[in-house]
Amino acid sequence: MAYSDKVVDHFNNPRNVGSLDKNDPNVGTGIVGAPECGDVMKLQIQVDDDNRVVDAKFKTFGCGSAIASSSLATEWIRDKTLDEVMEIKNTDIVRELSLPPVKIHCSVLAEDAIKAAVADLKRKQAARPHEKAKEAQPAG
Amino acid sequence: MTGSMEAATPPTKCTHCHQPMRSPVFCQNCRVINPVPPDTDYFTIFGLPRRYQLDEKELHKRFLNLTRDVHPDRFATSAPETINVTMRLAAQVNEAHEVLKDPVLRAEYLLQQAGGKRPSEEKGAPGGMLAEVMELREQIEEAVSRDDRTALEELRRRVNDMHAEVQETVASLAEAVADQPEAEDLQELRAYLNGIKYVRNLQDLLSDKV
Repeated sequence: MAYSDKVVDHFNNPRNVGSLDKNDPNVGTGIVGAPECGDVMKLQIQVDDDNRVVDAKFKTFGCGSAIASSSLATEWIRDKTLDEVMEIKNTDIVRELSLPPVKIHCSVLAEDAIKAAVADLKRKQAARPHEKAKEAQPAG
Repeated sequence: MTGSMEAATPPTKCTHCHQPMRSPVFCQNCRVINPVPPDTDYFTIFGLPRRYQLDEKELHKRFLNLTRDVHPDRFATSAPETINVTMRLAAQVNEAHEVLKDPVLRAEYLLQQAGGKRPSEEKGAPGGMLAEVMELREQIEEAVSRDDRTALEELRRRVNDMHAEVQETVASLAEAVADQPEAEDLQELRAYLNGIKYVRNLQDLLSDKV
């Protein structure tokens, strides 16, 4: 099966490979897997005080499509708010990378990883009721 | 659940000579073949109890005997319908053997028979396992880049231990599911069978590198 040019490009030059400090309160980590093939994907996001993504990193052990899907995902979520990040759908990734039907699960994995990272971050934020209360107060 | 399973069980006595049969597909007494429904339980085909624990040598012996007994070549001069039946039975026996001889496929089979979900329907792995797999992968990658044989050997030991542990849990859960499927066991077995795939991938990765 032939990979699309965009998949090959992301595979050969993956963007944002690496790790962020998972203990940083502003970092959310999502680790997901596809049990059918055994692929594992880690996606991390770092936000500023306004919950805007300032950095994103990934590490994927899997096929070219899984690597390309997560590489593209980290590009897309940078500079977005958490709400905007949650709107990214696997179908957007499928379209951008022209993934064939047998590789759609790779894009699902990337979407799951984004959601897991956001959920992890929100869990951390909820565990800090103090700052949360401060943020919730109207400005001025 | 057990009621419907018993209803689907083929006769244990030969419909021809009425002698008890070890396998419902072939009577050793009158040497007659017996077509069974395509969804006949794999354990039943070999006359083995529906349990996860099984005597692998005994399974292999029965597989060889049945393969010989229902082999289409033995019926070369029979009516075309009979030859068709033997070809179907030979395929059924093969498929059943492929699944039962592999501990993971056997557990997966028991899970599906008990109404469990498929990996695509329920992707979860046991708590913390994915993170551990991810970390092991990173360590393997590092050890490979340093060409650190000692570290790789150590990692291989860890992965094998992990595999043995997961395998043990799969065994006890699959036994429970074969006996009396409870929703909780089905879910947990699904998670561990998902998990073992990641661990097996780690083993494959290490066998390439070490």
